[in-house]
Amino acid sequence: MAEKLKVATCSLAGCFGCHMSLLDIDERLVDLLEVVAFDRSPIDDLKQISGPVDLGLIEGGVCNAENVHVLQEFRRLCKVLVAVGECGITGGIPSMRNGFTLKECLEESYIRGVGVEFAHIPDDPELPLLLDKVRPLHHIVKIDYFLPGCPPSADAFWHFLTARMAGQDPTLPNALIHFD
Amino acid sequence: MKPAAAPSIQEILEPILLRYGGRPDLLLQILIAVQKKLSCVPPAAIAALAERLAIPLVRVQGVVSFYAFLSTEFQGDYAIYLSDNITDQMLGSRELAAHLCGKLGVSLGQVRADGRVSVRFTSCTGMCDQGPAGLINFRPVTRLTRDRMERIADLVNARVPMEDWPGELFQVETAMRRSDVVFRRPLKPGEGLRASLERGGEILSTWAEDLAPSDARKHHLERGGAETLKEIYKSGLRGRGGAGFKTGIKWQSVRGASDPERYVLCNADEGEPGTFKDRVLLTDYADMVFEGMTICGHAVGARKGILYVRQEYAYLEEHLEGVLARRREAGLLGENILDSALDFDIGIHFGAGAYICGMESAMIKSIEGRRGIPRQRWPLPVHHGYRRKPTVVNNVETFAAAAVISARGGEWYARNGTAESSGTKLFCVSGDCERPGIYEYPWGVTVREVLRDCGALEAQGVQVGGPSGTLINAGDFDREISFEDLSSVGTMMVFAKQRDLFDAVRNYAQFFRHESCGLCTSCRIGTTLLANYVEKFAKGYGSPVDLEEMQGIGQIMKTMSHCGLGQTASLHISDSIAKFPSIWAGRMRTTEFIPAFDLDGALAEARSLTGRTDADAHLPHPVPQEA
Amino acid sequence: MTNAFHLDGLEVPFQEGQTILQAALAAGRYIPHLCWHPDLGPHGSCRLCTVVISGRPFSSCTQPAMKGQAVACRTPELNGMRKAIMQMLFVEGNHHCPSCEKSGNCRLQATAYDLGMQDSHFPHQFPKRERDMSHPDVFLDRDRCIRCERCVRASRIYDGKDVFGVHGRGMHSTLAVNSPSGLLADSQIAPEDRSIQACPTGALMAKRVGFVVPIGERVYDREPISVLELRKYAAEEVHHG
Repeated sequence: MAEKLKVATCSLAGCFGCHMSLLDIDERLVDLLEVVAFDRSPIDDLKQISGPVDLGLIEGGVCNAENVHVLQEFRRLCKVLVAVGECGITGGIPSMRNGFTLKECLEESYIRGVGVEFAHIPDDPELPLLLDKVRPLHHIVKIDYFLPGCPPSADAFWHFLTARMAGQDPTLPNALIHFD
Repeated sequence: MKPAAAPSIQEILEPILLRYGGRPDLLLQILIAVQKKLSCVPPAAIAALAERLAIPLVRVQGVVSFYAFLSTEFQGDYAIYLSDNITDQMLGSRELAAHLCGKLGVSLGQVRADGRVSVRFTSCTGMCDQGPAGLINFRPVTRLTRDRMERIADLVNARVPMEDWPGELFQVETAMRRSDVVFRRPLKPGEGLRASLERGGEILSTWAEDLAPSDARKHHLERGGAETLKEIYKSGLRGRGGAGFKTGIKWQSVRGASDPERYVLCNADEGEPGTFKDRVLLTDYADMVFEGMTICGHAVGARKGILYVRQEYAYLEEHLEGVLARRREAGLLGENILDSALDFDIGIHFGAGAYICGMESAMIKSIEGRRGIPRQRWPLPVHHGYRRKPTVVNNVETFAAAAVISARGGEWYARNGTAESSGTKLFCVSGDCERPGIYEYPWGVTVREVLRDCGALEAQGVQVGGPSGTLINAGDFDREISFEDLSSVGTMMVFAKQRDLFDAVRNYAQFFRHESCGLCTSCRIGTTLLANYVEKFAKGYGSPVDLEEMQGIGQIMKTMSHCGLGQTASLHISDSIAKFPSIWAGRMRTTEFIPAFDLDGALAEARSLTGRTDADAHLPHPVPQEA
Repeated sequence: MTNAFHLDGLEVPFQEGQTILQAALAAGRYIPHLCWHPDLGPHGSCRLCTVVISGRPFSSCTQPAMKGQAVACRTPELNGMRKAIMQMLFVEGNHHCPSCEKSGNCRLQATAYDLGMQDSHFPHQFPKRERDMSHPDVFLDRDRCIRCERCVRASRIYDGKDVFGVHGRGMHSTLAVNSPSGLLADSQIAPEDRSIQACPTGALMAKRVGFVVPIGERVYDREPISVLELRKYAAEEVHHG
C-alpha cells in the first residue's frame, strides 16, 4: 500500500468552523483516514508539527505574532499549503476590526466596554501580541490553493482532498464555490 | 488682521456668476474663479452654486472633488504646488521642498496654522526644461534653488502681495533649441487663413447671374473649405496628441455631418509629464494655433472653437486673450473673417488639475463643466462631441501644423518626415542633457540624433513619449521617432548612466495612481496595486513572485481598461522589467515571497499599548536586513 | 438576410443598434457583466464584458454589433482576466460575504462564483469607508460599493431624484448622497426606489429585509447567475414578442 499522505491542519484567527465542516464529510472520514495521516491538527490534538508534511490546511487569518510563527512554520514544512475558508482567504470577520485602530479595539474591549471591571489592556507576555491589522494568509506567505466558504462545505473539502490525492487539479466546480 | 466685514459668499459669487452668465455648463470655470478668490471652494459656496445654477448638490461636490486644484478646505493665502515630475526630482525638488517647508515652518501637504501658506506636490507642471518648478497661487515659478526657496519663504512670511514679487521668479523660457522647416519660418498672422479662403477662388460676378450675392459668398466659403481639407489630406497630417489619427479623416467626418452646429476644440491639456511644447506654442506661436483652429472651422463648417488649457498654463490667459483680441481686430476672427462669409470665434476654457482631461472625451466633459471622466467609445466626438454636436478635437501642435499646411500646401508638408509620419514634430527634451528644451525635427529622426543635439552623451535610457510611452535603453537609440517605429507625443526624458531608473518608475507609478479617474475597475485598482508593488520593492521586500504579479496586473490593465490612461499606465513597469532588469533584481533580497510590510512594525502599536518589550513582542524580519 | 456576427465561432443574429452584449444575451449567450443593466444602458466601467475583435479589446456593452465580425469572448485568457477583475473588486473594498445581508442574492458574489473565483489573489486594501445608517428604511454600506453607478443612473432615470453621485477620483472615489448633510436620512430616497434594486452588491439595501430568505435558499444559491440571467432574458424576449 502506498504511503499515506501526511496532512497538518490548524486554525489561526478563525473559529474552527472550517475544521467542523471537514468532519462533516461524515462516513467518508473512514475512507479519508485510509489514505491520509494527520500530523499537527486539532483533530488529533497534536500541538506541534513533527516534520515535513505533504499538505497543510490553514483556517483563519493572521491576527497576532503567534499566528505569524505558526503560518511561517507551516509554509516551511508543508509541500502544499492551502488557505481554507473566508478568514484564511480574505481575513474574514476578524478583519472587520481593520476599520479601527488597534487602540480603539483594545480600549473598547478592555477599558470602556460594557461590563469591564478591571480596566486594563492585557500585557501578559504569555499572550500573543496583536498585529495592527488582521491579514489573510496570502499577505504573509505564498499560498498554493484556496478553499473558499464560511465554512467550505464538506463536499468542497472532499472534492479538494480526493482530487489532490489522485494527482488531479483540485479546482472546485463552480457549484461548490461559496463565500458564505 | 481681518477686514471689518468679510464679504458674504453671495457677494463673492455674484460677480463671478455674472462674468460667466450664470451658465451651468461653465460650472468648472466658475469653481476655478472661486478657488482663486478664496483659496478654496467652501461648502457654503458649493451649496449656493448648486442652487443658483440648478445643479444637484452632489454633482457640484463631485466636480470640486475631482480636480486636484479645487478644494473645499482653505489652501492658505499662498498655495504653493511643487512640480513632482521625475525631472524635477532629478534636479533636487524633494530636498528643495523640505528646505522651503523648513523655512516656512509648515509640513508638506498641510496649511500653516496661521492660514498663510501650504506646500504640496502636484503632477508635472510642464516646465521640465527649467525645473525644479512649481506654481504659487497658480503663477509658475521655475529654476528653483535653495536661494530662491528662501526668497519665496521670506516673501510669504512678510506677506508681500504676489503682484509685488520680483518678476524674475516667474520667468518662463520658451526659446526653441532647434527649428526645422516649419518653425524656421513661422507663419505671419493671417497667412494660412488667407490661403484657405483664397482656395474658394474669386467671388466671381458670373456667379451672381444665377446666384444671389449671399449664396455666392457661401459657395466661395464651401469651396475654399473643401480645397483646404484636400490639402490636409495631401499633407498626411496625423494628430500630434499621441494617438496619431489622420487629421483629414477626422475633419471630413465633421464636415460631412448633417448637423450644421459644429465645434472645434483645441486640446492644450498638456498633462503628459515631461511635455511642454504646447506651452511654447501658446506662448510664442499662439497665432498659428488659433489660425489652425479657424482654418479647421472653415474646412468643417464650424463657427465656434474652444481652447482648453490646463490650469498649469492659466498664467497665459491674459496673453492668449490679447492674441484673440488682436485677431478679432485684424479681421482674422469674428464675423466675416477677411471679408469672407466665414464666421468663427474662439473662447478659452481652463482645466483644474486632471491628467485624464487630455483624453478627448474627458476634455469634452470638462468643458461642459463636469467631472473629467472619459465617455463611452461610441458615439465618437466627430458625431456627438461638445454639446452632443459634431466636434473636431485636435492637439495644439496639430492645429499649428494645419495652419502651415494651409499656407504652404499639403504636398510641401508631406515632403518632410517619413511615409506614414509626414512633416515635422516638436520634441520636448528634458532630464540629463546639456540643452533641455524644444527641438523641431522631421519625423523619423533617431533617438541618437536627438541625444547628440541636446548634449546627452552619457544616457543609459530615455522615456519616449512620457510615462505612458516607451522606456528604452541604449540598444534602442538608433530607432526612429515615427508612427512606424517609436510613436511619441514628442517627449524625451533622458536618464544618464548614474541614475537609478527605479526612481523614475516609482514616480510614474505614483503619478498614474494619482491620476486614474476611477471609472473603470482595471485602471482604478490596477494603478494602486502596481504603485504598492513598486513600494514593496523600494523597501527591499520584493521577490520574483511579485515581479510576475506586476506583469500580470499590467497585462490586465492594458487589455481591460476603458481608455488610454489605463491601457498605458503599466507600460513603464513592463518596459523597465524588460529593458532595465537590474533595477528590480538589485532590490530583491529573497527569492521567496515575503510580506509587503514590516512584520515587526505591525506589532509596534500593540507594544506601545501594552508596554511590552519581551522577546515575544517582536517578530524577526523574514530576510536579513542590511546593517 | 439577417444581420449576424460570430461569437466564439457561433453565429449570433442581431438587430440594428444592438450592442454585442445585448445581441448575445438575446441569443442565449451569456457574457459576464456587472455595471450594465438592461434598463439603465451601458456604463463601460466594470470591464467584465470585454471581448476581443480583430485583436483589439472592446467592452461588449458599448460596442455596436456589426455584421460578420468575429468576436472572441469566453477564451481562457479573457476569462482569466475577468476573474482577476472580480478579484480586484473584492480586494478594493471590504466584502465580508459571511456577514452580508445580500449574500446569495448578490450579483457581485454570483459573478465571482460563475467565473470560478476561489480567492481574492491580490493584496486586500482594507479601506476605511463611511457607512450611512441614518435613514430609517435604507442603508448605504460603502465597504461593498464597486462604483458601477447603477444606483446613480437608476435614481436619475427612473426615480427622477438624483439621489446619488460620485465624489473624488481614482481609488478615492466614493459614492455620495445628494442631500445637504450628505446623509440618506436627508435625501429623497425611499425603500421602493429603483436605485436600491439596481445595486448589484449589498452596498445599498432596504433595512429589515436582509434575512427574510435564509442563506442557502437565495436566488444564486439555487442557480448560477449565467443560467438565471439567460432564462430571464429569454422570458423577456417572449414577453416583448
